[in-house]
Amino acid sequence: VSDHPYRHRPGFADWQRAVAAIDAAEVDPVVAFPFQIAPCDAVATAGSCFAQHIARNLAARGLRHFVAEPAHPFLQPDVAAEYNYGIYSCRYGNVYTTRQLLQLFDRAYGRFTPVEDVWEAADGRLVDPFRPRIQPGGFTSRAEYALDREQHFAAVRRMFETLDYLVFTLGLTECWRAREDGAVFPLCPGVSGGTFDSARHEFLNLDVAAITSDLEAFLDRLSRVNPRARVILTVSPVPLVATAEPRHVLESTTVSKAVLRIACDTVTRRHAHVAYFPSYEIVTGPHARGRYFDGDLRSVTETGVQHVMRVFFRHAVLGAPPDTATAPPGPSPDDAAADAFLAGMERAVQVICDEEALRS
Amino acid sequence: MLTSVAIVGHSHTPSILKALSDGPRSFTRPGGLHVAAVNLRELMPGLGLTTRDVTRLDPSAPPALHPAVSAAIDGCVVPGSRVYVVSMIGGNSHNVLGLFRHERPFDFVLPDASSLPIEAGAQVVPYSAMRSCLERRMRYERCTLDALRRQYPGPLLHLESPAPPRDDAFVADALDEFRSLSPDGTVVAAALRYKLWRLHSTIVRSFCDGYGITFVPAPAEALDADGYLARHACQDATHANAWYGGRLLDQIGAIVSSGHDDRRAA
Repeated sequence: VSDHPYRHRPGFADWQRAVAAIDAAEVDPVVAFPFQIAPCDAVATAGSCFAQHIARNLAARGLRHFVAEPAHPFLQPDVAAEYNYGIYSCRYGNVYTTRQLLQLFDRAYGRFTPVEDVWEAADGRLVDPFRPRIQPGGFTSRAEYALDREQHFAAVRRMFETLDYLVFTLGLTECWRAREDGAVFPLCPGVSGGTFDSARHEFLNLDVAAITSDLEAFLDRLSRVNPRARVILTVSPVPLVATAEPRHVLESTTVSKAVLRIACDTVTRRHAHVAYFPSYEIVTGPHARGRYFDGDLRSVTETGVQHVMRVFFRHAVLGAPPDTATAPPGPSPDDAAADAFLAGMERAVQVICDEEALRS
Repeated sequence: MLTSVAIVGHSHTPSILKALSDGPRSFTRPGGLHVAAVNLRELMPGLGLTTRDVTRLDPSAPPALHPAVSAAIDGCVVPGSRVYVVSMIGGNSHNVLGLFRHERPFDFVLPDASSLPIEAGAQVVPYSAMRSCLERRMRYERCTLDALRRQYPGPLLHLESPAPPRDDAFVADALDEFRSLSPDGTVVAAALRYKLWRLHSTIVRSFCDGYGITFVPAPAEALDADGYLARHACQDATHANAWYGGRLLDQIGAIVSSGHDDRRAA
């Protein structure tokens, strides 16, 4: 048998040895991850819905999930979650596309102010077109909307300027934008607020060049405000819920994920401070035999998520990380201080009330 | 026909008790109104119970008043009279959030008074999140109103708790003994005290609407032009005085004589 380049390739390059012959849960497609995240590093998260799993597990496994826009500690945890505090680093909701990420940056820094900047519901409540599901029922007044936006953008700037790592999960290529100024919405107008108007809104399916260009522009802007920032890109394994292209949703899913994956590959080859983490491959690879998808064939099971996070911690986190999620983190120092404060205030109110009762 | 007004509540009842002539727990007004009040903050400790015993909470049953509470209310009623029950239950949950500034100051925007000032440097919390937060803290208050309604199907009023004082110095003086509980001893801004009171009232009103209880707003003559409790009506940082209690009695008298809810009273 003559010699050839494949005879000397390492095990990870061989399908039989790296995928087919090993237990599905042990498949590990990461070969040489360039970063080692330390527990003290500030890790910010953004992206499509799969990014929520990553954000949740970073904290659960002991990393510092950098939340630049936290809930006030008076808010009970379930209320805070309902208002999208702590789901990602800031209250931007799902950032499905690279265009959305780029425009988020530009809006936070005042470089772009979309014309269609608020949607008014029939009951007078206000919806943010760029985070339409950020809180139940929307905003109750213009003043609240403006103040919240201002506060949100300040948090986004703080996040970009101080993060050590940004984990961004690319989810979609398909999106809807305003014809007038190109503002991209996370959801089609009319789905969760606003009104769809074909004269004002148009469908956009970002291609590899557009996504690559968005990512390059974003990386350039980020490095200007935070030269030490490093970026970890992942592609969401979650299929499209629907496609606006005149083709089958399965085909659109395949194209979208391929486009996103190629864009990631292109960008990571160009920049040493950008890495790709193969969440998509771990969940959708043939080794999983589809078992990492739930009954709806879209949602990723907790087993799938844990496989992703196990591999992530094995390669991307400094030290010997636990192989499974640790117990949920206890109350933060802020929460504990707030509890103590409120307990003190309750005591004070009790004493005042008792004194008042004696008066009678 | 004589009308009995049985007032029951916590620390806001002394304003009425004082107004009822500095001593007797009941009196009969000319015109056939017999008024008596139960201060749960006196009653419960006197029975070796706490204010958390006012309402019995059992996951498998509707909330129910402690028998001693209903007995005390029933004791306010002249047999054979028309009966009005008046609640001054709770009314202080908002003050837990609105006495001293937290180390992470917060504020929020009232939807119908959105031009009220926001405290500088404060985290703006969505109004609806603030409402959820406070509502959670008022679960017991809600259950007690529920229990009261279940026990007394006749006319039932709930009196709004007093507005906050506007004067920061007055509030700070009144809270002086608790200053050490606060990170910097600064009381929250008057506008935030006002907003918290309004939010509390909105929540209580929604409870009342749900249980068929008539919510009675604070007497207008006790408020200044901006809705704060007039200085001459203040007792301490969170309570009103006997003069205010007198205005409440006037309100109750007017409601009763208007024949309000007579159908229930029949």
